[in-house]
Amino acid sequence: MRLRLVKGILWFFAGLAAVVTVFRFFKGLGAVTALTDTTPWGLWIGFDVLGGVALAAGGFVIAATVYIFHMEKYHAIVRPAVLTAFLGYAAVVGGLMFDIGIPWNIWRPMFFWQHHSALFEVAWCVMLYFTVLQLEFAPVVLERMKHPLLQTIYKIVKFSTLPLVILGIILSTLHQSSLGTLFLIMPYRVHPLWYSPILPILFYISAIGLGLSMVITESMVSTWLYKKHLEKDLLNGLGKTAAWVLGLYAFLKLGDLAVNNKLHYLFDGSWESNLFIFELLISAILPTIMFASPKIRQSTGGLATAAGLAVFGFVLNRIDVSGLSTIQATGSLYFPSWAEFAISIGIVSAAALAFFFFVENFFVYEEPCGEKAEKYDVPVADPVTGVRLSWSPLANARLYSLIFIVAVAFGFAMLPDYAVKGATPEKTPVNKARRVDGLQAKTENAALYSYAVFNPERGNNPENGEKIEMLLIDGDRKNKFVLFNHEGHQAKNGGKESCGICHHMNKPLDKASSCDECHRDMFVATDTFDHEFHRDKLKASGGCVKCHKDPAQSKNRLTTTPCKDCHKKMRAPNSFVKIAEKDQTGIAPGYMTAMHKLCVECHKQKQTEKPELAPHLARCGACHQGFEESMLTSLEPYPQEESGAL
Amino acid sequence: MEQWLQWARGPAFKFAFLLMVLGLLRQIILAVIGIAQAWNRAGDKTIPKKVVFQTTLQWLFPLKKLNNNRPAYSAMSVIFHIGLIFTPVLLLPHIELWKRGLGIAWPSLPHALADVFTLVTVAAALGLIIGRLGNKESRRISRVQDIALPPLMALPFITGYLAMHPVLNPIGYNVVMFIHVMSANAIFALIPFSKLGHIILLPTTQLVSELGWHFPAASGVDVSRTLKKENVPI
Amino acid sequence: MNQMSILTDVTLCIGCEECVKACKNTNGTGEDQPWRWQRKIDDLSASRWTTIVSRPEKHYVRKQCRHCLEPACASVCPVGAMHKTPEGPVVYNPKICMGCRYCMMACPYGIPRYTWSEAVPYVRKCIMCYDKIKSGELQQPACTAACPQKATIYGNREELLQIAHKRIEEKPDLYIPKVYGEHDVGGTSVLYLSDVSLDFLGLKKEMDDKPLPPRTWAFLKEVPYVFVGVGALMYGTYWVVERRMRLEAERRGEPWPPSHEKGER
Repeated sequence: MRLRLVKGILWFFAGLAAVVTVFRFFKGLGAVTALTDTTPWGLWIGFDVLGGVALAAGGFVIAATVYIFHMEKYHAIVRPAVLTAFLGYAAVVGGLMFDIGIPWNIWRPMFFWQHHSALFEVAWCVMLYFTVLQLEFAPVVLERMKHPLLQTIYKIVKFSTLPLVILGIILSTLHQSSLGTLFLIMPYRVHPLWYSPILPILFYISAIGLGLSMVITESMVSTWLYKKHLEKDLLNGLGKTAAWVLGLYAFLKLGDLAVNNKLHYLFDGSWESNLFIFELLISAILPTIMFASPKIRQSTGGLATAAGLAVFGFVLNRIDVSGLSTIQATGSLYFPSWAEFAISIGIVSAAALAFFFFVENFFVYEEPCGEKAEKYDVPVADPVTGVRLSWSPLANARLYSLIFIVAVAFGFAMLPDYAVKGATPEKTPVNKARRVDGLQAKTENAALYSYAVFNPERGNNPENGEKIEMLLIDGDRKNKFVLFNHEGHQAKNGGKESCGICHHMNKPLDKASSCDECHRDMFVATDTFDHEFHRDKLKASGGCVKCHKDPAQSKNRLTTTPCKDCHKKMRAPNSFVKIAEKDQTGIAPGYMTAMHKLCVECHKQKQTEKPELAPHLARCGACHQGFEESMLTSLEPYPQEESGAL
Repeated sequence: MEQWLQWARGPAFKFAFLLMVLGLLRQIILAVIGIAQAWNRAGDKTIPKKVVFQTTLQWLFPLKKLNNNRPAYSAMSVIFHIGLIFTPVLLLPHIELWKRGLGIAWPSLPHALADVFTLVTVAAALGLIIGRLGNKESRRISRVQDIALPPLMALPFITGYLAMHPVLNPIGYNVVMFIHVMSANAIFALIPFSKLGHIILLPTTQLVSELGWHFPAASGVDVSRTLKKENVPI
Repeated sequence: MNQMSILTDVTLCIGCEECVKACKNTNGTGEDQPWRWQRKIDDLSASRWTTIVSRPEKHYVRKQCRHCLEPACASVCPVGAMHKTPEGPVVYNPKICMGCRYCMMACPYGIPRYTWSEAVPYVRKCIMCYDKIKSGELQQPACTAACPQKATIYGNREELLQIAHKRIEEKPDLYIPKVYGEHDVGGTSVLYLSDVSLDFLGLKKEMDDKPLPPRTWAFLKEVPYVFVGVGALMYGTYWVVERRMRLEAERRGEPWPPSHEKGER
């Protein structure tokens, strides 16, 4: 029952991951993940790849214990440990396929050598070690095959166990440490508490400690699931070794801080320092103390807690190094999207289901265990209905497939639109231009004026220029603003009569609607048409048919009377305002496009007419200015971002 | 209400529709595996293809079935089915949704005809429930879903009609649309898990009912073993 | 060293963004859009390989790839898709890129950008118009050619350094007496002269002059020795332990190896 429950949950997560997978590969990383240019590595690298490789370290540690050090009593857990490692690496490779942008190029490092890259070395080692793990695990599958060819292969593989184990240890040593080497090139990105010249060594030692803890955890979980006898004696021994390894890790970690004069970071009260202390406590110090005490080691709860803490702590360590510790440098807050979590958990779930499959069908433990065993039970009939309640090969498939499809449908329903349809630019609502006091001064080159926001602290000095009312146009409140001399433009163009040159003047009684009323988004076209309003207005004079002329046709923009058929005066004669044709009915271009078209067109014209007067009139800098604190004292300043690096 | 309607048309619809598609796929796969297993076990390996084909056809075009002991009820059922299939599929607003969602379209039913279809379907649903509950024998063999499904099927028709005729609508467009969409969602979600599954699963049902009754080979041995009379000659 | 470089003089820049426009047109990067994964629309992005950062008191700083002399991005790329050309620019080969984004993590200036919106995404950054100069289509990068103030100029790195030092000598009160990029992270091909601090361009305010790749190489160069060393150590341990156990078994008169090790079940 508990096995069925656990498997059901795992199938649910696998289903969620399945539906995200589709959109990850068809719509791209931007649509599904929360990754940004400042945080290009996220949960999939931190947890799936770095965490996954470290979690799978149990394989080489136990193989070394048994085959190199001849500690025969651990023989019973070699197979589960190697299986965990094999599936762990499969999960890592699977996770990588999601994370890297062009997964079908994953084989490139085999042919394009770049031996200065730590990632190149990791790629090769993981590739080779994954092969070694397959060969190490192959006997478990092959021993049950009767085909003579397969039996021959089985014998060869079995015969080469020792070389395979040694190769596995070498490769593991290399890539477990090289995952630390990955971060050596980022001294400015990674927080000093985590950045260390001995990162590779720390990664390697922690991998051994984590491998041991993971084997303990995994043994205890499968004991609980399959109601087996717990090999306490073995786990006790593993725990004792783990205490030494984790103790060494904690010692090295603190020693490294001391040697590099970084101890003061530890107590500076920043959240990084707290996180570091927390991480070190639960990954190394607490488990070391617990594993070191024979009494705690003897109790199931103590052993489980210590191993669980270490597993959680070291996965956190990998996430810290690759992600959380970089926040102080990039200033960018990244939190994974649920789709990223779904993939991470889904891959682990799939690996766990594969683990159960091997455990139930092959000699991973002393004998295949679990549900399959019930097959040989005598069928029992339900006393009331007479239905046979025996094990049926389809009974489980029915349950799990139901859970799976519900999860897929649920995941699809929960995926946001931008994940389903592909990433779309963000919405940037336009803010109204503000009236401000401005200074207008003649520039050296004749006809041009230069403008600035009037600063009362500097006083109304006529030398600075003339104080006039201006519009501060800063639609998204982020960019360089434009100081716009509205009255000056009005006067130049011919007074009040000239409004129509720049304004639409299409609303009754409204001679000059301000631009942001219709151009409501900075960069994206917006719908200006108010259906409710028109419906209510037109109710008296015929209702829907007034615009939807043919009731048999479907009601959409294309089949509907265009706005300008009724609003004939959408623009005045000689107007610079241009309106797109029928299919654009009611659609207003983005604020920036509209403003640029309106202003730059005119400026360009002026510039060609009188080049000697205004040589720079059509350049960006002619209108756009940057914020300066000094001139903004009379205004509420906007928060400015300090770092220009990213 | 606006947001609830958005939710019903968005996530709720996606969930229900995908659940229907995957659920039916799952049922077909499971049925095929089940049939294969039954066939493997069966002593009699003949598959009565002709019978399966014929019964499927008979259920698809139930002209013969009209002539059984309750002709009026059967006729009502046929009308109900015709209304169920053609009205939603050939309705213009629905075709617009298909066009918007997947970019496919087909000719639509004239407006007035669609109204007639809708009313007839609702009337037929009413008749089916009366026919089922009014008859003692059929009431006795009815399951919950047999009684609950016809009103559920009629609900989107009633609300759809009200939405298209605002004059008759007592409770406001958005509310009616919400009930319309949600009842349709419920139907989609229920299709693979209730007798509504016969929309797609009809042929497999026929196959199962033909093959499922073939006795397993040597099934007598199993019986005698279960009865602990293995060595007793039959 | 005969590398081509760019020298940008912050004191001369008027922030007109002609360089940005020229870059966009020449490289066909398309329009800027407000995407989720970038901070500001006028920050560097996959469609904006160079940009102008406004600093207080009307200072404008052109931001672009620094084309380091020992580039971290090229050193970390596992397939060599990023590489430093002998002419100076650090260029990118999208054909072999596998999209690991290690270059984006490794760059001390946070320059490379990613086309996140695409199903097949690539890395994007300034390549100093390498391809167009190589083919003779352009004499110098589009940005330097477009600058109306001659605030950003193109030339041989040695010559540009001479020019820079000469300008500092001529106006010691104006400039911060340092050519940004002369030594930073081992030297860069894009140099700056400025009257305001340009510390903000890097990930950290203080970055030392040592190049980054040697930090990785210090460990990677040991790989062959680790390979052989660990292998020898493991086989040695195996041999010693096995021998001791065999002698022990022989002394006790037990069979060796023990039956369960033969692998028969």
